[in-house]
Amino acid sequence: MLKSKTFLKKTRAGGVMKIVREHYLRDDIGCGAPGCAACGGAHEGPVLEPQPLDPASSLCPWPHYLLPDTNVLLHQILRVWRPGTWASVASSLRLPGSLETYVEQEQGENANDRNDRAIRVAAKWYNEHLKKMSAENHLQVIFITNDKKNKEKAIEEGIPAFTCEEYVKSLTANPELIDRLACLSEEGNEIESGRIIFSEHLPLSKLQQGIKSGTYLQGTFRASRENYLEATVWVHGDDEENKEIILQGLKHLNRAVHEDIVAVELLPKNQWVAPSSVVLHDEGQNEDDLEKEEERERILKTAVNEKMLKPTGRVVGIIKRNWRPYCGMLSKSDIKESRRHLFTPADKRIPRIRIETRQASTLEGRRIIVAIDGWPRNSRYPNGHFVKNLGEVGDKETETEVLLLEHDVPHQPFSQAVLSFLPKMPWSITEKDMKNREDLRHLCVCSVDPPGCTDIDDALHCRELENGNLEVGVHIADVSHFIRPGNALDQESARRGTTVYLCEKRIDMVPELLSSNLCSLRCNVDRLAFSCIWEMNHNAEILKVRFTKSAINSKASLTYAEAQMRIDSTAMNDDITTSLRGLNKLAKILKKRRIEKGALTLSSPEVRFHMDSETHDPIDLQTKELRETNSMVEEFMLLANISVAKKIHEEFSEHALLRKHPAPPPSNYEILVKAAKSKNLEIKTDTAKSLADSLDRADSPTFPYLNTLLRILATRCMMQAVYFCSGMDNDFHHYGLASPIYTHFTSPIRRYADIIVHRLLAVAIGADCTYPELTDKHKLADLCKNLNFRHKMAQYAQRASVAFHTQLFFKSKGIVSEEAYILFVRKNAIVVLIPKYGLEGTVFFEEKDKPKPRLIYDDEIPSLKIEDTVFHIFDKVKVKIMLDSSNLQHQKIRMSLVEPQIPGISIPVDTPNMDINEPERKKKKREK
Amino acid sequence: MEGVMRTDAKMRTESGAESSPRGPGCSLRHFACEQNLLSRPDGSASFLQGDTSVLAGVYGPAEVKVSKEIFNKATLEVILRPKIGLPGVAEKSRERLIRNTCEAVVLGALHPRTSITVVLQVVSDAGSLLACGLNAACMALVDAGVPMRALFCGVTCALDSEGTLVLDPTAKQEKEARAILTFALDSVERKLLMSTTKGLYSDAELQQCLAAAQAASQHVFRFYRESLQRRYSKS
Repeated sequence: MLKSKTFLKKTRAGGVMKIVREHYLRDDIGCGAPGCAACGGAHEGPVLEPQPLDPASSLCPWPHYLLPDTNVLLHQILRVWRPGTWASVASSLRLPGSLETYVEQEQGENANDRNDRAIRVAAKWYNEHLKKMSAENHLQVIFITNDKKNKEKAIEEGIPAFTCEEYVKSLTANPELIDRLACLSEEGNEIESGRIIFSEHLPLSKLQQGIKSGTYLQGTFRASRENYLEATVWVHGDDEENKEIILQGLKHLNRAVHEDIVAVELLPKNQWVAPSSVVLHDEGQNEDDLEKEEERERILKTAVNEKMLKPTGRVVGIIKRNWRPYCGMLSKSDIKESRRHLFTPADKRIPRIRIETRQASTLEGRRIIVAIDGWPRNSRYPNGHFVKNLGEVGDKETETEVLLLEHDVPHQPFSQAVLSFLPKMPWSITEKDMKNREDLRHLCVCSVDPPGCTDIDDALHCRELENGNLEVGVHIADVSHFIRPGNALDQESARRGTTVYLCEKRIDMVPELLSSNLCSLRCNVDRLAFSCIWEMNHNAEILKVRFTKSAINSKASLTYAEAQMRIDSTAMNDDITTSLRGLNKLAKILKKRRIEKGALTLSSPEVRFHMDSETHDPIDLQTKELRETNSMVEEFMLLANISVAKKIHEEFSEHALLRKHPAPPPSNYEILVKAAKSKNLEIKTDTAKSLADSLDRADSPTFPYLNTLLRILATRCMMQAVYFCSGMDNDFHHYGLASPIYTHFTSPIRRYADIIVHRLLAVAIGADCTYPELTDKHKLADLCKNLNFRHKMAQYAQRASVAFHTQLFFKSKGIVSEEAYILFVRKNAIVVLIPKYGLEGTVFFEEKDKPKPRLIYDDEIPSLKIEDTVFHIFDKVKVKIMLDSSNLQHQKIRMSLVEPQIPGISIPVDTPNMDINEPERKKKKREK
Repeated sequence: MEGVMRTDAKMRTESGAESSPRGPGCSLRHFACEQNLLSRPDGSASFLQGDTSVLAGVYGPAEVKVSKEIFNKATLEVILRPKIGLPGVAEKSRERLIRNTCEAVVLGALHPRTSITVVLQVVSDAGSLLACGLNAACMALVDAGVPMRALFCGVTCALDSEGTLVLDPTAKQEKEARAILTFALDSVERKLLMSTTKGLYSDAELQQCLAAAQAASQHVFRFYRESLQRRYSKS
């Protein structure tokens, strides 16, 4: 024993407790070098390599082990460590021969100094120890530290010591490692002439004081996607005053990065600004162009009327950085041989990052990951370092990886721990499974899904009862039977929250065995289900509803098209078809009733790619087609969800997991109303019902696509639907569906919320037992938060995937001209939608090297006048679509105006690189 | 055992570390005791061991607070007051040790639903305070005429870094000691009533200390007898 300490402590009850602390030192930790006689038996765990590899260091050509100090280990090892290069990591984590190397803290010595001394003692001990072991081998331990004093002391004590940088630079065999060093050395950062750009961040204590006293506001920093000089801060706090503060200009943004928690100071009212409608991308290659920057900032500040002004502020300090590694690409510096380059993140909200690398030429055109190290006051961009090379740009796998990483989608394969909770194969329904479960295998159940669907989570049936009424059943895969609360499988599914569908890939929420086999309600196999069974009359009025766990055997898995065909064909009269017809009839009544109540029919341009079966390249693109059967299935799913929501809320008024869709604030509709007015139409937005009605009426005989456009625009006005816990909220209304209560019950294979709802319902009907977390509303609220986040991210990832595949598609297609409609008018650009591809894009009117056209933007209508042509919302234009490869940063679809012709702006129609003559022909037609 | 102790005593005198004189044939410091020196309590005593001195007063058997009442025996309470300041955690711990010892010997069943309160005031602490407190408590209980199964005494042993045993150590010796062991022993069977230790020691060392304490307790009990005899023969 090293020492013991005894002291007395008073217990809460007033008694006295004697506490004895004893310290022991281990004598059984070996040096780790194999074949070391001195610590023969003491080897366990990782050992050093017998002969250190990689002696290719010019500083120490003899074989050596490395002993990094703690800071080096923490900051550098992840970046530099590659298998085989740092052999001694394991042993340095636990200092060997502890009896000899124990170091006690001296008086006046702080913990860090003591640790440094301990490491030095260990290094010294190692060198002596290894010398004893094999004198001829000349093995040595090299001490790596970045602390100057520590290094000096080590050299004084006769230990070979280098800084991390010195050592890595000396590695002749791995020159690329130097890039991975986190750039910590202060001298390295002095790139600019010391000109201070930003004001200093206040220390945390001052910020906290300021926040308490109300002079500063705390909030999440959200950079704008469209304008790098603008950002908003969502002020945390009570819901009613959930304020948004605008920040404009580099200096006011003051080095905050998207998602950081910042403290902001409100500017006096006379400095308030309105959110600008300029689209600005940071493209400057030279970082010193501050004058240009200022000029750009001036663009933002244009005269606007008083009421548009919003609270404006500036960042005074950062409370918490939320930096993560960012995906993106390298923009190689123009200067040859330069080692400093700018990195452009894929996410436009992240500023460009300056990194130092010698392998710029190899990294060019590749997707890389970069981490931010810091942002000094005198630097226009944050400093970072290279972390990982993901692969070739435009490569499908790389791009998919990028978008998954960027959207924080957990996509690693399931761990062994998770898989261990899967049922053993071959699986079949046992007696035990049938407890509390109804046998519905005799019913004629079938499923209707999109083609190629392997995770079938719903099936339907409909039959006539003896009393003339109809019995309709919705059968949902019983996933909660397989995923038991609290185990690793459950936790992983809860973390993932949702299955993410990308164009060519699906990121499952539950392992494939469940998603595509045991839980998937495939035809002609026995499957466990959770059934919701209604008795309805022929007017689709619900007479009775009951819920039960069941076992079913689906008779057919149909696609929408197949089901439609069966309904339509008069020749078929089998059970399945009659069942489908009954369902279809009821669904139509249900839908009508729902729409009467004010449910919205919205539209968003959804596209589907036809994939080449071998290369998985998109070969064609079409907007999704909607059949009667789609809405038939949808109708019954909605009905099931509503019935279940009622039931669980009845049973658990405090902790039912529900879904709500708040009504949007009236201001959201402004753009829609203005747009409709420009076409002499009136859109009423006071209630969902009047909105739905006025959308139905909004038709123009000369412009058939207008209605769809209005619906697309209306969709953009909506709020996001969210999950919530009934005990934490009192507004349950679902605006879009015009239902007073709603939840998600019907897709437990791909949504975690449904699993929770299944569990709640199972408890409500006494088919399963409850567990503590299920009835803890705070835990449920936390879960809802995660689910909402994952759903949002999944949606973004999906969109990103579609965007990427659209690019691939146009790459193969070349340059095309298409008709488009203007969706939004901005200050210097128009956003257009191409109905044929469901593609949205921005047409810029200001280009870098061209003379600026005369732009007049009218915010009220809104319209944009360029030279003599005025653009209104919904105007039909013709645009040329091409893949912009000139800028490899972000390969993007570039659109430029073809029609109407504006000299100097639009592209002449007969450019030689236009491969299709069609537009020209059309144009001629019009000229007649 | 006597032999061992004597050599110990010799060694200490040789080292010259000892400041207070020790009686011949006894490695304990000089004792002194005075009884019935306070008028208010039912019994009182002051006990001196070298320069360590504790004053004790006993109240009881007296009326007990209802909340503290025990239906079949007397409630024993020990209060230890430090020389300066308020009693802290260390005092509380000692109080408890002394109370446990007293409870083991006092025939509380003869006075059910009463309270017996022992108040100890530290006059000076020069090592072996707990042992001195125990002795003072015992003498005060005797003075108050509280019925007891046996008398008890406290003996402190210290083991220094070389493993030498020191009985009744001074404050300085306690500070330098590797381990300090305090025992309470009864006068009839010489059995252990209480023990508390601090520091590192082996099994054998514990046995050795216990034996030494048992031997030393004879001296203490002899001293009790003599001082009581002196007192009662006077009157």
